[in-house]
Amino acid sequence: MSDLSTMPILTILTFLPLAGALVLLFVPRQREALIRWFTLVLTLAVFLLSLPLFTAFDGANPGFQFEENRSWIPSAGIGYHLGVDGISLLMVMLTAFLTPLVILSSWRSVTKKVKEYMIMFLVLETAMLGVFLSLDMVLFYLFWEGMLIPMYFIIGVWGGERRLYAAIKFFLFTMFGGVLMLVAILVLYFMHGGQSGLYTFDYLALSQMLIASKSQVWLFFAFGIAFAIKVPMFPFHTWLPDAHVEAPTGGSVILAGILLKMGTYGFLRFCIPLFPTAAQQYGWLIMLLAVIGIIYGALVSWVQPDLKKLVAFSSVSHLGFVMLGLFALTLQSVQGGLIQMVNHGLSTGALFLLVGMIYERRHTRLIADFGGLARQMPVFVTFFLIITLSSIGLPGLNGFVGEFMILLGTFEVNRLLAVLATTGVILSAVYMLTMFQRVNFGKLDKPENQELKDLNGREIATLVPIVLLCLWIGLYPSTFLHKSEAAAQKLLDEYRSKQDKIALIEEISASQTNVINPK
Amino acid sequence: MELSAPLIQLDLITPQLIVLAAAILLLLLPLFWRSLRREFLAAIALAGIAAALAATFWLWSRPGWGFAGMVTVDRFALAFQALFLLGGLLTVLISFNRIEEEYVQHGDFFGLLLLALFGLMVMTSTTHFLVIFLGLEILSIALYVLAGYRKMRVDSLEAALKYLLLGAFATGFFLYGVALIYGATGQLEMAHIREAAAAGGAGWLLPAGALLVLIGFAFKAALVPFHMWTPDVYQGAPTPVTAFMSTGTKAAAFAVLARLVSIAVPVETIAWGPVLAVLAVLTMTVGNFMAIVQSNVKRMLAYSSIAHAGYLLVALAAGNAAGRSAILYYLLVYTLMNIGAFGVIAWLGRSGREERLTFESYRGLGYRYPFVSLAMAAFMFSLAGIPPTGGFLGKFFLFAAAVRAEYIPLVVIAVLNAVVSVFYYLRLVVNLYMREAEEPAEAGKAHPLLIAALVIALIGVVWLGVAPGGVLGAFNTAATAGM
Repeated sequence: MSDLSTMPILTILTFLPLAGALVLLFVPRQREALIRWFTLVLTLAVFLLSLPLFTAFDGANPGFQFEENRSWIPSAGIGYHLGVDGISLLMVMLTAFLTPLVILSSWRSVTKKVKEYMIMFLVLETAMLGVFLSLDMVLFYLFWEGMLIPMYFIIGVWGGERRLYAAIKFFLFTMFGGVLMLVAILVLYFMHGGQSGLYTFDYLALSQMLIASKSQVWLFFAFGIAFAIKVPMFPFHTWLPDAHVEAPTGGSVILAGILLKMGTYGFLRFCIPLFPTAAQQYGWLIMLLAVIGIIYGALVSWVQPDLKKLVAFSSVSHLGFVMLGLFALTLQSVQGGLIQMVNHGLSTGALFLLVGMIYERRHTRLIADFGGLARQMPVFVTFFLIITLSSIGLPGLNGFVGEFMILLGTFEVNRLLAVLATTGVILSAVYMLTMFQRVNFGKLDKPENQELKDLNGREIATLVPIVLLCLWIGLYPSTFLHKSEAAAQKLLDEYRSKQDKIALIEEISASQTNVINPK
Repeated sequence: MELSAPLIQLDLITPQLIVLAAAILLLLLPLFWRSLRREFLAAIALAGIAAALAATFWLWSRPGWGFAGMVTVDRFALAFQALFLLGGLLTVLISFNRIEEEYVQHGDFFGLLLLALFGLMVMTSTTHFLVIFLGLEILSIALYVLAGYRKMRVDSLEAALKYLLLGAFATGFFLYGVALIYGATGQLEMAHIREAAAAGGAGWLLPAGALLVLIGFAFKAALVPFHMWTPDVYQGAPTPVTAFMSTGTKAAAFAVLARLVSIAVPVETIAWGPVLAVLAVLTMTVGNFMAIVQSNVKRMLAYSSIAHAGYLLVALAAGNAAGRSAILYYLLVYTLMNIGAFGVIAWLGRSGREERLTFESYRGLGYRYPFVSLAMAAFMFSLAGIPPTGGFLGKFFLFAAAVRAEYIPLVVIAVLNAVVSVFYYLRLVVNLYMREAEEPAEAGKAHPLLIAALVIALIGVVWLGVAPGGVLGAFNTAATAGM
């Protein structure tokens, strides 16, 4: 680890899980214990490998670090270009952090086709890391769409009763957005080639391009719909509850924890820097939809009888906050959005884990079937409480930091939306606490619940790292904010300067046409 | 430019001669030795194909023209030849399965297959319409017989008869078109036609002729609205024959069409772009939506092959070298994944004496037959165009060519069609992996040669999805040859 700069650390990080999956292919399926331990150790290795990346990452440098750039399909201008900056670093860390926990959480709950399950999660981890690390548009797209295959199987094979419907819906929705993005990527490629003579899919080259504001609008929406479906933003969210409810616990955790972040990450990485004028023109629309999502998600969560559905809809609300922060486009709000992406991954991921744990015991997720668990399962309820409080943004825990920064940043830009969004904070306290109360307090009157066993060592081991991280972010967020600050600042600077340049160019060319065709 | 080529240049057609020799050998041998093992016959066929492939690679660095302009062996032609030979190779391999066992034991099956292969190679290594016609007829007559090869089965005979009638129709259109072109320009060679047209006075006969030629090949490539025969023929014909028809014939039709629109009758005479774009939209959309409602896997693949012809048309409409290169690349991937998929059907598609061709009959096979199911899933994802398979990169190149030519709405329709196609391709994956079988499905052991075909196809599909470099480079040079 002494010299990270000469090692292709990002390649190793990305493809280690895939290599593990290939190894697993040759392990006999009966050796389930071996398969589980192998996968756990491998994903832990990926996490350990990501730690020096985090410490060696220079937060003051706004650009990409640990870059690897090799040619891949030179005749088509496609390169193998990886790199990490302050924006993707946190997402990479989150992915590496959550995956081993998910493997641990599936230790007992997945008993069917263990080998295939583990292979799918390893392939999925490669695809997720690839999405966050790719700096070539085609490479990015490859990981983005490739990720669908393992997730499709995870929902479709190990999911609940309506898993087939949920799996295909997930696949079709995501792919629909994806293909529109593909067309936009191709248009960008030829636009750049036409302007500069250099035909390339390289992100760094494409993001330098100045695009006419009219074309920007089309491209912004072609990319934006792909990401909005993934986030999911209201009104593209309808696949989410189905996918979440039907997916196995591990799938839900990864889906909420990481896959949804790909949408918000995409907005930040592509939509805003590539199409700043359109982002500025239509920012209000995104922010409006974000606020609608916040309130709508919260209200729908409130009335859910099913725990998992409640958590799923709360994601719509929480990610509305993230989107609001990103498109308010102030340093505070963007930073808040970034940290909130991590927070949501942690607290919602943990909520799905908790719901999974109780479902394994009772085989029901209906809130009405519980009550009074505090007596029977004190350890479980303690974790549940901490995570619930983190999710509703209690000061001292992680959720508060993100939401506060987002609201503060948004308030400078649009007071009305900031105020409306604040009601979402209140609503989230309402639905989360109501749910918490109905599940854990009151009388322990159901006979089935009186037999419930408290969490075992493995389950505690799954939750403790998340809780620790929630506290860390809540008490000392600077560790993480410092890493992303320079990159966020650069994003905003370029967003403004590019906008100005484009406006200037268009003004000049407009005045020239006026000269040529005087009225 | 006048080319002073010698009259006879046999070395240019070495691959064709090898395939023809093998075909004749295969047709004659069983007459003298009745009890030849089919492995032995297949070995002759495979050896012939392999030798022809080697000859094709040998010719790659020495392209040329011969037979007084009747034969054009440029890299474009050679790339297609290699493609056909690969398709032929895989077809021979997948004919080792239990459904075809009882039918495919005679030398004439492989003989006819190689004859069809010979026809494909003849019709693509020329720019002369009469030679195209010769190749087309050799191909078609061999295929009429092959389609009806299961002569005790009504659906096979129906397939043969339908294919014969529609094939005759298509040839009629083609010949009529050629006659009009000849009437307009007095030429049958593509470059000469172009020169004559440029000299002026071709009138409306030339575009009319060109459109009729297009219709003729639209039948062969199964483009909407000339596709009606496809599902019945594909369903009724023996599975390896269907695999061969759906890839080879389609590829050859696109080779001729590419030459037609870029050499013989350029865009100055007919605005090919809009014509082909309309055909593309019809073909993709009808193919995909009809595929959704099929319950028979072979029919689903028939409609899917129609849809794929639509994607290929998108790049043809683009009318640039990138488009031709993309067409070659896509056809290569398509040959691998489609013959691979038919190979899986040939393996799994039988329980007891009954053919097993509904989606439901594939339930739960994923865990009983892990390799073949994995291969099928990969072929389906590739057909749907999901990375990291060759099907994705192939579509990517096709659509990139069209975006380059600024056919953006066409590309949007094409990618949305790709989303629709996911629905029916994944239905098979769902049945393989996500549904339990009511009774344990039994498919039996597969012949090693069939497994070899699946391994080749699987490796090819993944390889072309992650490392396209060399192949793409070769196709790029092929796409500019002689255009």
